[in-house]
Amino acid sequence: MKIISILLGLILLLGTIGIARPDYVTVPLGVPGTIYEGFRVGAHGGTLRSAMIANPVVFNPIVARDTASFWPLARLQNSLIIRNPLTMEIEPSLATHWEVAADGLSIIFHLRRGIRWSDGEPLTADDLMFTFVDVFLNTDIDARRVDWTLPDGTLPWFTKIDDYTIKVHFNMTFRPALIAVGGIGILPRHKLWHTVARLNPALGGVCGFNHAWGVGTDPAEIVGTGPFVLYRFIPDVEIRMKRNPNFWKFDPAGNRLPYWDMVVTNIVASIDVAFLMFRNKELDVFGPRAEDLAILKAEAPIKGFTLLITEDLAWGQEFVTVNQDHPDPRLRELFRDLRFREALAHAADTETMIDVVHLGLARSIWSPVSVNSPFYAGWDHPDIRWREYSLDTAAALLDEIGIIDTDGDGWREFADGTRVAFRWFTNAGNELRITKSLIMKDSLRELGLYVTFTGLPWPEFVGRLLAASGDWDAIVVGFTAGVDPHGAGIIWRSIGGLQFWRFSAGGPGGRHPAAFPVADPAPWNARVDELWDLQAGTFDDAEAKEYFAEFQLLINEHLPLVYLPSGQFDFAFYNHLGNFGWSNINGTGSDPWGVVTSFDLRQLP
Amino acid sequence: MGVFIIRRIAYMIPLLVITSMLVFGVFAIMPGTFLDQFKFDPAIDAAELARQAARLGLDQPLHIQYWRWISGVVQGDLGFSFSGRQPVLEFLFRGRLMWTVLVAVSTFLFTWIVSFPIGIYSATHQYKAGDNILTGLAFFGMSIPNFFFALLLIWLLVTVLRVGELGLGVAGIVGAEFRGAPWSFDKFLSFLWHLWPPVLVIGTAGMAGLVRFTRGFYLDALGEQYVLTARAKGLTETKVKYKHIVRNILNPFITSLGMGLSGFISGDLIAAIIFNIPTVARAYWFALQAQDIPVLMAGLLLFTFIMLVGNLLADISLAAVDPRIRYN
Repeated sequence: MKIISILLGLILLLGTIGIARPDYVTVPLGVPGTIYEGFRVGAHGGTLRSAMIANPVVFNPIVARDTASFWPLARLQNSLIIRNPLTMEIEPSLATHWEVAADGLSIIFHLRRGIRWSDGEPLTADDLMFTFVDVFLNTDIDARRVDWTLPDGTLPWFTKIDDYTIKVHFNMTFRPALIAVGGIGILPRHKLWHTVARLNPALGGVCGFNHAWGVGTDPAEIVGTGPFVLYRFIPDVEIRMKRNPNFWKFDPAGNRLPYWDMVVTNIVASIDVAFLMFRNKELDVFGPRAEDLAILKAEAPIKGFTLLITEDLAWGQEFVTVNQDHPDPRLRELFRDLRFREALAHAADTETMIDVVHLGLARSIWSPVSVNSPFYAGWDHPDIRWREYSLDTAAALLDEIGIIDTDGDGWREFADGTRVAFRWFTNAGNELRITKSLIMKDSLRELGLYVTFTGLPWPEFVGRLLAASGDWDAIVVGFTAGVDPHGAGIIWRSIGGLQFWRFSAGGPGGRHPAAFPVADPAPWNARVDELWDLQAGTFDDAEAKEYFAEFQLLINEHLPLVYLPSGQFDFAFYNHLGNFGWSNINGTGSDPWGVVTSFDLRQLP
Repeated sequence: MGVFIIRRIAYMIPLLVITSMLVFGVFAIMPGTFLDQFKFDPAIDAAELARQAARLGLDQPLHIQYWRWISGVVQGDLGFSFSGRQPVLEFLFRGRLMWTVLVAVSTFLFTWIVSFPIGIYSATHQYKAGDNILTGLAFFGMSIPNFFFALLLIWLLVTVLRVGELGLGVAGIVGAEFRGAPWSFDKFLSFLWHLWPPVLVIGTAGMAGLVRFTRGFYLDALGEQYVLTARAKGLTETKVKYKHIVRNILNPFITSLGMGLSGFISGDLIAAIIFNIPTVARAYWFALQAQDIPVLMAGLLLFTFIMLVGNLLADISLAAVDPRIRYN
């Protein structure tokens, strides 16, 4: 009787002091009506083997810059919010939920309770304050604060409300701040505080954080909240991660995720090696190139793997552009003429490019926003101007400009009788761009435009594009893209810094104030700048999408860049893997192949 | 001999300083910098690039950059890798040196063990069928490009023999289950399985030259008077061949061995890439692509130093094996 009374008392006491169940997450695998409907509850065990072509440089998410480092980091660390790889919607991660103030000037993040770091220490708001304030806002630390910088140049500031709640304040409403702040990998204060000079006087003012968690660090020291913890890293060989015993996601049967015991990422010297390893059953998954597909298609039934050819396109976009700030006034005038750029678009034999370069697995694109982005204006927008391949149309446009073959030598001339000739560059070593350039060159030759093509080493290529001298004429190159186009402001805002085809648009505030003391924008530039501020100033994604749609149509109309076809994503995996969910989120750091391989993969019995 | 060694070591210092300047000059005139790879990343703005340039010292004039680097070298600090964010020596050698040396030494042994007897056989059976066949094979090894031979071998293993069905890998230097594990008999077997393809590819490339050298030197030696004398003395043919002739033709090989010492540390790049072996050359190649100047500078300086040491060791060895050679 006495024991029962004591137990009852203890239960009452625990209830009173508020020991609550941890805020774990149950992933609804196989639950009808959810995005995980097609998945099944799995069993623990097995090793997932994949490959990548570079070594990680650091296991510190704040100072990491390279894709290879973000691959393990995406599995070792977690942020407050995350984009679901299947829906691309922002959803809670370490935060249970968040509240944006009505005026948009603050966001309150509520942290999950009862979550533990992989070493067993509790995760609290102190870890958030450490990550955001002591590290990210600390100017001694090599953090990339550009995404946090508001249009007025200010940075956010933070207050701790309680052990599980923090508030972030902004000078102005700034929609991208939600993912910029909420998407930062949270760091364990108890493991790293001593590397921060302002917290550790013993450092004598010398910040050690920038070199913390290098690739030589003892894996036991690298603590996280992600599904895996680092087990071993051997340069040029492998990164091996094992299941995090404290991970906070479960399946509906109550099994703690992930299912895999280990995830091994082989580090290979080239994609060809990965291809051979996959075919030799040394890898479970592989992202093939177009040229690999014929072999894989033949081998798939024999070797027991599935080849997935998706409709999703790669995130990056390749394009042709011309130098609208060309030092030669005749070429400058020509390149600034919309009709000339339209002629280029009509001269782009996209069907041949798709067949020859992408072996049929590509699609023509029109927008500066990735087709995978929720902010893409769509394939069927009524105002899109598709410029089909037609040398007749291109020739008519060139005639209309007034560059015609006056002396009958087969080449067009300017009004002063000199031949219209220009140089065409791309970066050497990129076979896709070189082939596309040569296809373009053939079309231009038929049009009577004298073009000399050269593949330049990347440093020289970039150097020419970004130098004030403007020593280039026409190029093929590409940009990477993210889910939210806001990050491309550096490209599209007139003073952004990467608008190399018309730096003059930015004038004194742009990248080359010395070269362009007076802004010389195209008439639509100002509207793009305005749209950029408008989309950033609303937390309503639908409204932002409208602004982005207008921006995309402006680019489509004025054609500063002529987009070239974009290749499709393909994927191959052995059939002993289960719970494969395709995701096209590749390129934004969650998964190099765009497949959810972290917690919802399992080996079928 | 002691004075000779000290003098040779003293010569190395100015040689290394001049080398370092030349190397720095070559890299300085290369267009672009390590940061160029980030210049087209929309997530990195001009301010970030400037900050990174300051962090890496790339915003300083060239002579300051050189002085900072060489001052560090003198104090034993070879610098910090831009791309690897770790000390240069760690970047180049951690997890790589042992495998590089193992593959290089195995290849060396394979090449010499196979080439030397073939060379002698060819010389002693000059213009006979055996000589022609073996010489032809050696030339085939030399003629076939390493990358092609490697791909051919892998194609044979993966597609024709389908070794993957047997759980045998073709990439790496040991099977995945043995990586990072202590040495055991099974690991050793796995190592041997992964070792033979690169050894065969790299080894056959060097065989032809060695076979021809051995054959040529041996034939030259056959006409020497000391061979005639040895035979006249009534020595057995085996003694004539292996005690007298072979010993006398060793000198050029010892010299080439000294020259090639840095190759033991760097390893073969093509085989490292195709067979996915973690070698020093692969790390250096990566640094070259990334324009990681500290690694490039330190690596070249180090390889030059090792080559000079190799030459010195070769000279010392020559004196040891050939009593006619004396250094004053």
